Amino acid sequence: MATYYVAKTGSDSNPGTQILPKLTITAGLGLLTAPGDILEIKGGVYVETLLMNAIASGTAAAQTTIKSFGTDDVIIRPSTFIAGNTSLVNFVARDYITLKGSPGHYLVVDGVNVPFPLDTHSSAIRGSATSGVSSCGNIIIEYVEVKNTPYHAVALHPYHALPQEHHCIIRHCWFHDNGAGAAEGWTSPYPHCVYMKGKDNIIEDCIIERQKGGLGIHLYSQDTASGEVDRNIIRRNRISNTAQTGILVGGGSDNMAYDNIVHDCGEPGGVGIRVAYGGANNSQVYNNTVYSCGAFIQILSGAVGTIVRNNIGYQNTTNTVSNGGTGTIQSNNLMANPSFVNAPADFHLQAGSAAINFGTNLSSIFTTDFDGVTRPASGAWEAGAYEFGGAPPDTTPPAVPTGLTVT
Amino acid sequence: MAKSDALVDWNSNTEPDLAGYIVSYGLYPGLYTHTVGLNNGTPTPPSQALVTTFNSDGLWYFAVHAFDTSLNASAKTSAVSKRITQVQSKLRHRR
Repeated sequence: MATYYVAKTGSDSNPGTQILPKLTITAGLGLLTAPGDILEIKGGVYVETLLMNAIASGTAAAQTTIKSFGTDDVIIRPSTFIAGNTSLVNFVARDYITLKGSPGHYLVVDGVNVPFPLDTHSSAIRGSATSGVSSCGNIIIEYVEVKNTPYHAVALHPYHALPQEHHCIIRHCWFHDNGAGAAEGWTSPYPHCVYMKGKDNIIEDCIIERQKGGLGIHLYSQDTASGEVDRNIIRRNRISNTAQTGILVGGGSDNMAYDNIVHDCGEPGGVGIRVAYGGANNSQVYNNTVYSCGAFIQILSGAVGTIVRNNIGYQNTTNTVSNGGTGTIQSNNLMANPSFVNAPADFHLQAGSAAINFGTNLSSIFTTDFDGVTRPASGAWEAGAYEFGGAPPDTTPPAVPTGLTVT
Repeated sequence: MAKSDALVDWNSNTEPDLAGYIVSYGLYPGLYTHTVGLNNGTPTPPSQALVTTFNSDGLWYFAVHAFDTSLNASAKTSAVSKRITQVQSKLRHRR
């Protein structure tokens, strides 16, 4: 395992050491020939499209990593596509690869210069390569910001080729102002923000805002065979102002959405959370807060054995759990005023909220709330994404240091 | 102070959950290619750093930002600068 460096002060004829870094990320990627190799990118704007086809996959014990250097601010802003590529960052069916920025300093993938979408899965970040090619697994995308892409922000969605994308984690990411291609007629499929097919993937602690076409998070396979979209987890995400539904759980078995906040999505016609399509078996929707959407929760025909518990729906145009599925279990869903602290800015609960102790205990399934506050091991839970009384996270940064001198 | 080194100094922050500082420096203001982290685990992180790692002579720019125990980070300060010289002779001497 080795660590290599890229910097705007470097040269592609350099060996890629910290003192003599490469100039382009593409040249740096070419150095990642062994599992567990690391590429550190120093601050600056990189006008490149990144294909991972030159790098070695990692292993379970040695994840190959491409990351910002320290807290440097890195922006990837391609001016054109590479011919035949339809994404800005393409994992090209590799396994065990991490792409990450750092807390407070997202690695930015700016799709502002992406041309008209080239195929139905044009995206800023993509798992599979091109039609008919196999998928990737164990990809981690962390502290990454994707913006301005006209189509999908992230597409982990092969062309119905097996095996599917699997065991990928998207966490602490910020996706915003993507999907404007819908207004230009790219609506088949619509430009969903995170478009995912596969199994055992996790999307957590992300912010999705202003998706101008399509859905926020879209789990779906148009195939109905079990094994296509299974055991995925969507948790602790905040999704707002998407053109259509906030979260779609569909097309597979045992998928879960819990502790999410979904607001101002899909008005009119869209839904906060929808469970739908053939093969949507045993979907579980717990402790989500859905506010000011076209509808609260909708379960369409074809969904079997869906469980919907402990959710809050408030100020949605249609504020009901609409059930067209088979064998649906629903309980403890609050559809009255939950006395939020200050919706939509703050969905914590005020003292005396009707949501307090309204929920049933689900600690055999998960144990924390949106903030990471531990929920009670026994006794009633709150409905919605927040337990009452937990300490909210500290999001206040320190002051900028003063009196800086150098001698 | 050696001409090939830089002593960067600033006022201490007062936040109770302050965890440390990061000094960023580079040859262009706002484009920092090097960083030094200051987080030694003490209640009061140091508010100065002696920077000795440069790879070329030139006018180097420095900025500092603070971070807390929740990994919230402040914005960077405006840059200050110092002309660094004799780097190559220092590197030769080290060899």
